Amino acid sequence: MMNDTKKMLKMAKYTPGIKTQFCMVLVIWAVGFLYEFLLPDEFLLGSMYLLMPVSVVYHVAYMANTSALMQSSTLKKHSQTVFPYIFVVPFTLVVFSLIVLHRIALAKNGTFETSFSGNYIILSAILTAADLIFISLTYKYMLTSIISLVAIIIALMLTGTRHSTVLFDKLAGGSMSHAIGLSYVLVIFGIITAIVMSFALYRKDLSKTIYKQLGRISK
Amino acid sequence: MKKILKTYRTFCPDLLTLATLLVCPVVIFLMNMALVSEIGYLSLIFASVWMLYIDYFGDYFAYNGVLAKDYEYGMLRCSLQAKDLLKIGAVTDQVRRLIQFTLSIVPTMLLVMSTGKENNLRIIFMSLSLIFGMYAANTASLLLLRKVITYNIYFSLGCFIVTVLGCAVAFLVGFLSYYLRIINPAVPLFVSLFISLHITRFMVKAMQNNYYRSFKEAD
Repeated sequence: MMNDTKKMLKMAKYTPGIKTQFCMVLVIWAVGFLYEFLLPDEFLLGSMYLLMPVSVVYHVAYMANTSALMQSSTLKKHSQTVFPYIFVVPFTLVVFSLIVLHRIALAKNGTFETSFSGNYIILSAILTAADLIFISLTYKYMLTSIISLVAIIIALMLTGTRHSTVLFDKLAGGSMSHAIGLSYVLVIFGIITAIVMSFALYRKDLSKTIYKQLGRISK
Repeated sequence: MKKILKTYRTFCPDLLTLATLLVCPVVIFLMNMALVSEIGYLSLIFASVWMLYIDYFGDYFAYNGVLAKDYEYGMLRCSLQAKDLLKIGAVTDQVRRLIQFTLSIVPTMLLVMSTGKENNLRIIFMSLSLIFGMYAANTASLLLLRKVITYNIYFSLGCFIVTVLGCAVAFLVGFLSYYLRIINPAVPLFVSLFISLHITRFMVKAMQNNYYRSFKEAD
């Protein structure tokens, strides 16, 4: 595991435009912190922006494959299927735990009702799982995966209003601890599905749109 | 005309043009038919904001990266007519976007006027202001987003920029001018018209300047 991490860090320098991507992650995170901590709302905007950099982290790890050195390496398959998740999994769990802790604190403070906070945590977990599955599919089915993710985000935003706590009541039985447990199960399900999908789609050709993007950025 | 369409289609896929000029206006009109009795004049803002999001989403598959500092114009650099072709492509895209906003807002305007609850003259002023205002907001956002090539940063950053600009236009036109009536309805119309004209010129110039830049040797 440690060896893989070291190799991954060495590989990251072959990613085109890594500094720009790092700066953009900070900008997107700043927007996420603004929505989640300063303007906590009911429309999942905070979770959405805090979790967006997950795909950027995956992108940084995956794009190292564009270099000729990696293409000729024996680690090629490993670098497309396992290496990206060495960063993505801890990153996702830390960000998701941050959201969960913040929502628990808001429920304890009395800013929001417990049912609303629990519902928000479950919705965030579904969003995280969808985001993880999306990043494993996006390089192979670009347009379909982006449209599906946008549809899921809009559906979650519309179902997650303050007056509708169906998921918390039905799935978690109105208990906050059950809601947190369920949300972590959903996130782990997302992680496992994403890794399985990466292996299953390894031999599939890259999406045409991604191919054009590669042509623009990897000179 | 044939040359214009041919040039435009080298940049913009048919599916996107069909979706934005035909499918989206029809879908938005049908949604507003169901909502207009409930939300009244707000359906105009609803239509324009939806179109704003759809257009920023679609532009990734058409002109993405055309203002990026590393963008290479490929075969276009070998043509003697490239300068003119690029200008035609840029202007046609701007005109298409204006038509697209008009096609989505005007039917909704007629729908709102047919309810007889609102002042018709003010609704016409509001619709025209929204068409030009949202067009200007869209072009302004694309001036920034056409520099971003990576898909995940494009979509996450774009979502924030488009939301901020769309809210600003909706606040100025819908809230200050129509609802509170602090501002004369002609003021947002002339401001949005003025900004639209200048920002269109600026976009075409920016694309041409980037084309000239592509001939420069890297430092």
